[in-house]
Amino acid sequence: MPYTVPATSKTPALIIYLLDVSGSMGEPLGGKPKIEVVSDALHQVAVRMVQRSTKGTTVAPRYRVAMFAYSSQVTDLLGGIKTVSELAQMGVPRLQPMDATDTASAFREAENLLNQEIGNLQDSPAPLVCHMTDGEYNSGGDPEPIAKRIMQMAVPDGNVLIENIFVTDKATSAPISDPKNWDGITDETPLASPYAETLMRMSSEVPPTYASVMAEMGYRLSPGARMLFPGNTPEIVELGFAMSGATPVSPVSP
Amino acid sequence: MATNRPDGTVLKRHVVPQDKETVLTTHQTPFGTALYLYARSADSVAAETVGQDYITFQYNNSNLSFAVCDGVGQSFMGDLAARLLGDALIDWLWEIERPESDEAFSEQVGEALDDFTKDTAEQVAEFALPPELPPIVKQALEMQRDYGSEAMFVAARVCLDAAVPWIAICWLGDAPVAAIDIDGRLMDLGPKGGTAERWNATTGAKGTVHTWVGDAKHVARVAGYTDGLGVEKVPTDEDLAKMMQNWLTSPPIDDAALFDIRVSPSPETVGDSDPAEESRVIEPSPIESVLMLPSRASPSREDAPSKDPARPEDTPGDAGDSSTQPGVRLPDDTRPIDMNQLPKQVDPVAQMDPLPPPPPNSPAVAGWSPLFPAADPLIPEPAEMPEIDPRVLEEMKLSTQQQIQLWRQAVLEGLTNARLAMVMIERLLDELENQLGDDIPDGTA
Repeated sequence: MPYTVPATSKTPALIIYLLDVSGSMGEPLGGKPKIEVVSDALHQVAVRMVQRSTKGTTVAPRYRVAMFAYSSQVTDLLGGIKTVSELAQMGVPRLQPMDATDTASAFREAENLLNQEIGNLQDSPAPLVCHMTDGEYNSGGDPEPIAKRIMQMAVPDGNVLIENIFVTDKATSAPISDPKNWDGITDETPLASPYAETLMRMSSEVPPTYASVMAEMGYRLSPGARMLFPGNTPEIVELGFAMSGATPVSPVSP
Repeated sequence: MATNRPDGTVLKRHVVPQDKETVLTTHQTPFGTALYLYARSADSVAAETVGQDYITFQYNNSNLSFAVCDGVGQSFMGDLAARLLGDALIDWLWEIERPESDEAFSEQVGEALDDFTKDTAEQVAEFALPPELPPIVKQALEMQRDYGSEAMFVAARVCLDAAVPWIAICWLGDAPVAAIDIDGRLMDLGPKGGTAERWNATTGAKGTVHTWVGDAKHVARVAGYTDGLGVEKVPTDEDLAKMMQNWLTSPPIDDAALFDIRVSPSPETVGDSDPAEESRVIEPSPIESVLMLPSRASPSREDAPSKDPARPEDTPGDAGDSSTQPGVRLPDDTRPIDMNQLPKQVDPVAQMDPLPPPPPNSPAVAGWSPLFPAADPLIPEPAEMPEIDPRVLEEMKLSTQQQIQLWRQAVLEGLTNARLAMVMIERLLDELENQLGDDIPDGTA
């Protein structure tokens, strides 16, 4: 059964965040700029990872995290991969909006990093790339081919997972009113924008083990749901980031 | 720690420290030999922090209660719940009468677990986190505090001075295992509980407590251990010997704790040596010569000196003259081991790493905000650990020579096997050699 290797100190989970900090991220979402909503959600997922890694007051390095912010250029926010213990010491960056949207370059960074790391991850959970954006790229070209290559990369636990958080009200025909009772996006879900469909193709299926962890947090995603979280509310952003930290941390029964 | 009770009996109480490793250690009680071990996970050792498991026990001339608790890692300070629960359980178990049935005992334990929260809920609420924790860790721990501090457990009461001696064992959760050697069979009592079963120091028991109540007659061993031991079945002494050797090079992944009381010899508990081992002992090592052990030192149940409390007619001397049974020797009661030691300070509080330098500036980073202000007036000061009487810990810290003597005695009584004793004695002799150089006293090695 794939995606069952638990994140432990000896086999930590690698999570790569690609965060769109283009100018449009300064627009409001739920009463505050989108970029602030993302910063808060990022903080929440860091806290959750710490919670899932603590024994007493010790934070075990069960997760390894890289964060890239992208606009017209890609910025490595953490200065390389950091363990969750190091991240807990550093804190989470608060972001500010910049200019253009070069999504492909961000995915290229993720691909390069994975190429360097994948050989050392053979006993670890499958890595996850969590991409957050509020709109289509306007420079750098189409990111989909790079995302597809990434999704073909694999470790024994499974192929590399890609998740997309699409902060917009143009992705679905009807707004998601209650994220806790939302089934998620499946191949049958009608999408309202071509870029949402592109992101759909760039999104992995939610592994059952991740769905179980999400269920413990009160979310119930249907089997076959994609790791695509489209919406224009802070709750959806939070749900998307919560998914990124849902790697199992204890052995999973077959 | 020894306490004189109003009824004139002396109660000895022990706590195995959570902040360091305790190798497999023997402890002589008036009615049998207790073994215990405690190993922190590699993570806890690396972080120089306490383990989440907890062992405590108390006994007098004919009674014993023990608890082995496993703190739940992702609850608030699982080590705290494990301590609170272990201490409360052995006190409560000490006072009970023989339960009428497994079901009645399960109900009793469940009620007691709920009752403990009258004290423990407050201790969790007031537990002060170290002030130097990073804000994200503080926030994560406060969220955990809202959820509660949780532990699983296995605990037992052994009562040997009743008209019909009895044993009552209880356990909750998927991590701890209760094991017994009865009628010559070694088994875990199962069923292993579920992951949802645990005790919450604020809300009480989650799930139904599993229990076993029965006569002590024909029981050779009662043990409780946590899943950190990484064993598929109840460990025999052979298994323990291998485990101790493996841990010399590779510490356990999870915290591991075992408490094991032996009241009579049993081949099942001693375990089988592998063929290589059998052939090796044909040529006795110097230690074996000292112990005067045959290739299989443990006597069979029939020819062993019985210490079955349910057979009062048996005394250690009844098994016959040691001169007629090569390799089987009787305990030497003329050399009691004095376990009173001077007190010593013990500090179980973990040290924290210093903060690293701030992250590099980035054009996409407006600032680094930990959400919580640096100084949180709501968080009271220093880390507060329930106080452990240093004498309790020191009392258990027998000298190396005393430990060697206890291992010898356990082998000679047939309560453990030669291989396990040799592993431990070799280790202790190394320790002694380091302490004394070549000046090892006569009769030790």
